[in-house]
Amino acid sequence: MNTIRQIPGKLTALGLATIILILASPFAVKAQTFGDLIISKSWILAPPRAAKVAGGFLVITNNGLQDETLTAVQFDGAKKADIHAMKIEGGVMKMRPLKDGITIPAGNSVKLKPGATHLMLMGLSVPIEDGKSFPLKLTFANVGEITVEFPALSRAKGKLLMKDGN
Amino acid sequence: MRKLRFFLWGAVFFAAIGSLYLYSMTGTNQQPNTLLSGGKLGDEFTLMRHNGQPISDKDLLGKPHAIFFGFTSCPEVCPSTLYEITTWLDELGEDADRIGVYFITVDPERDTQEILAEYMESFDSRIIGITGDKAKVEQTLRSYKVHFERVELDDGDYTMDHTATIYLLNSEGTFVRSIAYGENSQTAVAKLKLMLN
Repeated sequence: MNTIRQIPGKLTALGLATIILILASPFAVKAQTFGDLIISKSWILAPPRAAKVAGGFLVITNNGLQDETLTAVQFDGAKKADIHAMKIEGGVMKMRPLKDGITIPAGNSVKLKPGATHLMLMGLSVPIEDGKSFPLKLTFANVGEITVEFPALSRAKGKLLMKDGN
Repeated sequence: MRKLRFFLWGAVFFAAIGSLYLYSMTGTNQQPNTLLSGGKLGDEFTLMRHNGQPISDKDLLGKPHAIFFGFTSCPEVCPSTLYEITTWLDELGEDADRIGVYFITVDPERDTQEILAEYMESFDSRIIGITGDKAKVEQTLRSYKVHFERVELDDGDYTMDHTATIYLLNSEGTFVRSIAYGENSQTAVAKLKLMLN
């Protein structure tokens, strides 16, 4: 009797798990390893129509014994790409280019996420639409230049991706 | 007994210190908008809606309204906030018709009516984009006590620092409360619902 009662609960759990999988799998890019670096959760917030800028996000893990620095970003579909620090201070949004890049200390992760440091793509020449994916070149001090796929995601999907584990 | 009294006074002392500390924390971390609480914001203005029609301060008054300030060359905070507002309005359904929702640009130079018209298509059609003559827009922003500042980038390009808080005003234009960037949706929707009472 108990087992029968548990079935609806189990079905719901299974259903939820399936929904989460369906929601998560199409847009999550697999974590990629480049030397001592692991790049995961790369995505671009699909900008509104007419917007000439977009923000890119990712998690960089440095498993090496040396600090690593992301020094530059390049995207063929944008006039310019920078690394920008962003913060909300007393209700005011402030954004500044990080001229020296971002350092990922040895054995640590750095998370570029909405509301914080991000990759800033300016002067977009291609439409960044939800569902499409774009290659960005990232230059690191030690590892050198790597190419990473950045799927464009809606705000809702991006939120889900950032929430999902770490 | 004496020990107990000593202990209790000690507890009172620490509670007092603790609450003073908490008070000072909230004092520094609060949005500047708390200073505006209860005050009428905004002067008379005539600007332009994203559809090209004129809009004045009189059009905002008469029903509770929410105002967000931003610009289209903003990579994350502005689109994210406008997407969030879209989901909140969706959740409110027809009730949302009783609230005016406005997006006033802090970058009228680049955010022409044509650009704003296309930009606003990505969001709930009830959100009205507002732009216009630079001096007039800036005067309006000042009357709403909005912080906006042009920040030069090294190659002649620029970005804008700006207030990223959503203002909630009553039908007379009095500031009631605000929704901070990144505030959770449930709280935001609850705050919007409070405006309907």
